[in-house]
Amino acid sequence: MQENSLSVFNFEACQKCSICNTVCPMMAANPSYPGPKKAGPDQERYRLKDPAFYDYALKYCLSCKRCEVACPSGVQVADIIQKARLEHAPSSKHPMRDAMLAHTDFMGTLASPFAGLVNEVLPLRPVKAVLDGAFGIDARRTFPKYSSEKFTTWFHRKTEKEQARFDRFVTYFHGCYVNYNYPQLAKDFVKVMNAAGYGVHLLEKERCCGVALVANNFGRQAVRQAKVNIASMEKAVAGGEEVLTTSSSCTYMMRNDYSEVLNLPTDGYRDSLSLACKWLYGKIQSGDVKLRFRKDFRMKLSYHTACHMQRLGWQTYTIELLKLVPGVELTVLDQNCCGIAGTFGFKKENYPYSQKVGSVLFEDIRRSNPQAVVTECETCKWQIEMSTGIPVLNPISVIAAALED
Amino acid sequence: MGGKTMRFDTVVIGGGRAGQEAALTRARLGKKVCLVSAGLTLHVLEPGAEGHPYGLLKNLADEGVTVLRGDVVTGGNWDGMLLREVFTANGVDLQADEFVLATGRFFSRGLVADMNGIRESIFGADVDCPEDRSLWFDSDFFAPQPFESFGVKTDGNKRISIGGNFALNVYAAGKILGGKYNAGK
Repeated sequence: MQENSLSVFNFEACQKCSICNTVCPMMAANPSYPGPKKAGPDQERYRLKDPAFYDYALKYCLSCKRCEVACPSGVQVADIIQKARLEHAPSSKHPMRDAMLAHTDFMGTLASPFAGLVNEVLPLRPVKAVLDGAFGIDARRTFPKYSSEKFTTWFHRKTEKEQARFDRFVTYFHGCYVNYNYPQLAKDFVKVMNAAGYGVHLLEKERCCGVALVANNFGRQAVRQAKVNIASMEKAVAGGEEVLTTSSSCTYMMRNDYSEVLNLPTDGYRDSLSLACKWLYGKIQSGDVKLRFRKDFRMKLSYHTACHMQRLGWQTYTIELLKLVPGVELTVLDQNCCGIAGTFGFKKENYPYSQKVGSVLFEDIRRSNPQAVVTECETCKWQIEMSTGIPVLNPISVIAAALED
Repeated sequence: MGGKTMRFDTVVIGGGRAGQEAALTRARLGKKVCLVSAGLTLHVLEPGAEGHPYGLLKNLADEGVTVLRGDVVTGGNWDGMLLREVFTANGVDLQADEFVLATGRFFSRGLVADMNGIRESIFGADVDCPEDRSLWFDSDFFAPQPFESFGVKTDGNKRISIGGNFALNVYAAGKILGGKYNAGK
C-alpha cells in the first residue's frame, strides 16, 4: 500500500472516487446514513480537529467492510468508522440490551442450563412484547435456540479421548454460537477432521472473539477477551498446530481486527489461523488429505458469500471445495449483504433497515431455489432462515453429510 | 504458506481495463483464469456494464474467471526466471503457468516513484526511464510530461525483465507498458 502515508487506516489515500458508496448496502436502504466515504475518510478530518464533529448516524454502519473490498486505494474505510464509534459514540439509549447482545459468552453460560425453558419462553408473545418495549429488541426477530448441552461439554465427555488415536492434530476455535446454540456444526467439524486423518484439540482457553463487543462499543472488554484468545492461539501454534475455525466473522476479527482495531499483536498466530474450508482445500490439493464421498449424495445448494468472508477473500476456497463434492449442484449467489450484521438487526430501531438491506439477497436466494443455502456466517444463517424459510448450512456440515461412513 | 495454493493456467494481476481484458481473452481461449483486483475500478460505473453494480467484474465471473476482489499481490516465488506462484495480502497463494502484470502506472501504484528512482512495485521489474531525475518532467506544466510514458522494459513478447534478465512467463499489459502512445492524457 501507500508507504509514505502516515495517516491512520490509510485515510489520506482516499481519492474521493465514491466507489465505496456504490457498494454500501446501508446507504441504499437508509437516507440518513452519510455513506462510507463521508462517514470514514471525509469526516475523520473533522473528528481529528474536534470530536464534537462525530455524526450520530455512524451507528448505522453495518461493519460489513464491503467499502474496503471495493476501495482501489487500500483505505480501511470500515475500520476508520469502527474506531470513531469506539472513541466517540454517545452512550446507548438501550445500555442493558446492548450489553446482553454483546456479551455472548455470558448470556450463553446463563441460558444453557435452562435451554429447554429459555427456548420455550423466548418466542412467546408476551415475552417478545416485553423485550420489544422495555429492551428494544424487535418482536419480529426470531432468536437462535440454545442447546441443552454445550459443545465443550460434549467434546470432553464423548470424544476427547478418542482424538488421541491420531498422530497429527488441528486446534479448533469453535466460537460462541457453536458452543451454546449449535453444537452440531462442531460435531460435523470433528467428523470431517477425523475423516481427513487429523485429531481435534481445543484451545487451552477460549473466549468470545469479541466481534459483538466491538460492534456495541465495549472496546475494553473486547481487549480483555482477545488477550486470552491470543495467548491460547500462540500456544497452539507454537506446538505446531494450525488453528481452524468455522465462522468467518470470528476469523476476520481475530486475524485482522485484533491488530487493526484493538492494537494487539497477532504475529504469533496470524498465518496459522484459517477457516476449515481453506485449510481442507489446501490439504486436498497438495495430496495430504483424501476424502471419500458417498456416491448417492445429491444436494442443490446456493453459496452466499458473507460480508466478512468477502473481506477475508477466501470464498474461492470454499466454492472450489464444494465443487469437489460429487452430487453437489452449486449456484454462487451475487455478493449482497443479508442485513443482520451480527447484533445490528436485533435492535428495534434497525429492524426495518436490516430487512430492506437483505431483500435483494432474499430474492436472489428464492430465485435460485436451493435445498439449502451455504455460508460461513452464523448470523447470516439466522437472518436467511428467518426471512426466506430456507435452511442454511455451514460448508463443513455439507462435507460431513457427503462423507462416506 | 504451504498447502493453501490454488492452481490456474493464468493469473492476471490488476483489475483495471487491461487486466479485465487480458483475463477475458484468456478465459475465452478456454484457460482457467484468476484475476486479482485491489478494488472495484471506476470502469464499473461506465455505461455498458449492464447496470450491475459489479459491472465488468460480474461479466468476468460469468465467463468463468475467478476474481479475487479487495486483494493485492505482494510477491512471488521464482525458479530462475520462471515465476511459479504469487502471494496475496489476504494469504492466498496462486500457482499458474503464466502471469499478466496489469497493475497500471503511478496512480494505481503499479509504478512507484521516490527521490532515488522509479520501480515496479511487485517484482522490482526493470523500468524504462532515465536515471537523471530532472529528465522525468518538463517544468512547463502543460507540456507532455516524460514520466507519463515510463513503463516496464519488455522483450518482443511483452515479457518483463528483472535485473536485465527477461522473465519466461510474466507478461505486461496496459499502462504499465509505457511508451508515448500509451501516455496518459
